[in-house]
Amino acid sequence: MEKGFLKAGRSRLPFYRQLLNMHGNRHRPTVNVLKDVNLEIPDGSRVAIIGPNGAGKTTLLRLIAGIYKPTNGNINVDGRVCCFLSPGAGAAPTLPVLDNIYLYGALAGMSHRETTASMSRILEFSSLTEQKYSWVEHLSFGMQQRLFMAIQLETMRINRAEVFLFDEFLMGVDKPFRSRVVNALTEFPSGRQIVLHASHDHELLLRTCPTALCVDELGIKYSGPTAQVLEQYTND
Amino acid sequence: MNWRHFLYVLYQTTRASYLAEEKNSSLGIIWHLLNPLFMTAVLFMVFRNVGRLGEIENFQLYILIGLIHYNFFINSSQRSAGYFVNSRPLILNTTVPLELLVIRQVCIESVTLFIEVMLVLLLGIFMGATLTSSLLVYPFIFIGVLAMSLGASLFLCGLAVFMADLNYIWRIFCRLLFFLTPVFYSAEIVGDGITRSLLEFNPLTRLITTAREALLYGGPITATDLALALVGPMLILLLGLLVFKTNRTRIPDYI
Repeated sequence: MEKGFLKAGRSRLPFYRQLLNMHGNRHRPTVNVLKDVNLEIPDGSRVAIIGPNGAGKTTLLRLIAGIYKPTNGNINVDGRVCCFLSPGAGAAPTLPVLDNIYLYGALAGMSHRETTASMSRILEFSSLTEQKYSWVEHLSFGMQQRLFMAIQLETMRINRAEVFLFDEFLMGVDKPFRSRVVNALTEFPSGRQIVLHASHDHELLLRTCPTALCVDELGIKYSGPTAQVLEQYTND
Repeated sequence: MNWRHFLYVLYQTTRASYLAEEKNSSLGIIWHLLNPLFMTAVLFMVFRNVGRLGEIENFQLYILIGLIHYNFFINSSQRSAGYFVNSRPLILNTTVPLELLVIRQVCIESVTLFIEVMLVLLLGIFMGATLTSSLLVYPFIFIGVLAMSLGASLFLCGLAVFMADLNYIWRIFCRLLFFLTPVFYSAEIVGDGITRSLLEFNPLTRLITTAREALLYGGPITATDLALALVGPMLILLLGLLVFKTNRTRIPDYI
């Protein structure tokens, strides 16, 4: 996968250089990541994705979500994808919590009826029942993260999709909520659901994902049981 | 994403954007009505005694109808020009279709246009506008303006990611378009020549002229008039779709 990193000040290029940028490659520095990836993930898998910064973990998740298209090869995903690469992306911070639950729920794939039925559960899980009319921007960062994660977990609970993608999704939350999320993840029956979770939090990955992949700029370095992969990664 | 969920997400995102814009505003949506009204008042005061402009029947409503349609096209397209670059987190971290984000921009402005048209009808009743069965043609004009704006928005969204200066170029073009669209004058007073040809070539000219017949003068609108008014917008929509589809897969990589 060829990932482009844009030069600073691109818009100050002469007009004809901007036209040339449309046909891309000569004037955009690029970095090749995930050069050789052959991967098949069966139904019901919970897979951790680890690797150093810039290895391509988030890029891999975006490829699976269909946000990026691969430069070479193809990707086949059987089922709906729920993508939570940045909690709160697409939310409206200047609207109340209730409105944001409907909005974020819609982005996550929930219908109006499903969101209404799940409303009390989401508010209770995120401990935001008292703040349901508060604007999201008035909540602390941790409270906002709790809200969006509660919605994400609800989409898993009601089987809104077959593939769930997470990227460092427990940043900024307190320990009690973190334990609640981990317990919920381990208690949900996987069924057909595939969960892919990219993170640097090894303890979290050990508890929630039985298998792991280690990714570097060349592709998938090794894979296997999470404890084994983490040990090998740490020793490297 | 099936079409039902697509419409639901479109509704939720449009509603959220609209409410967020009106946050902390005392008058809220009223500003969207005051803006064209003030502009109409200024143009009327300046041009009512200029040549043959003052002879136009119901000149105030004449200007208002031109202005609200012109404003709709400009506002929805200018919203779209830099939208993808400013929405990087949403595009790179969710599976929301890019087309939905473009349509949303047009939908936000279409709510304002709908309310402004209701205002025009209300004022028309008090100011002696001739409302006939031609009014039933107006929804097609509304769709035409929507299609033209959507086409322009798709075109801009599909290209502005790669050409940042397109944003500025479009703004200059919009300023020129104000004088090349019969917002506050009629096409007839321009005479024959290159200016008249440019006016006729502008799809907004036919749309606004037909909208005035429907909303103000109650004049007969034939199927040919309607078809000619809609051809330009549909071509612009097709062009926008083509440009957008061609560049769509590369947009997330470039923003």
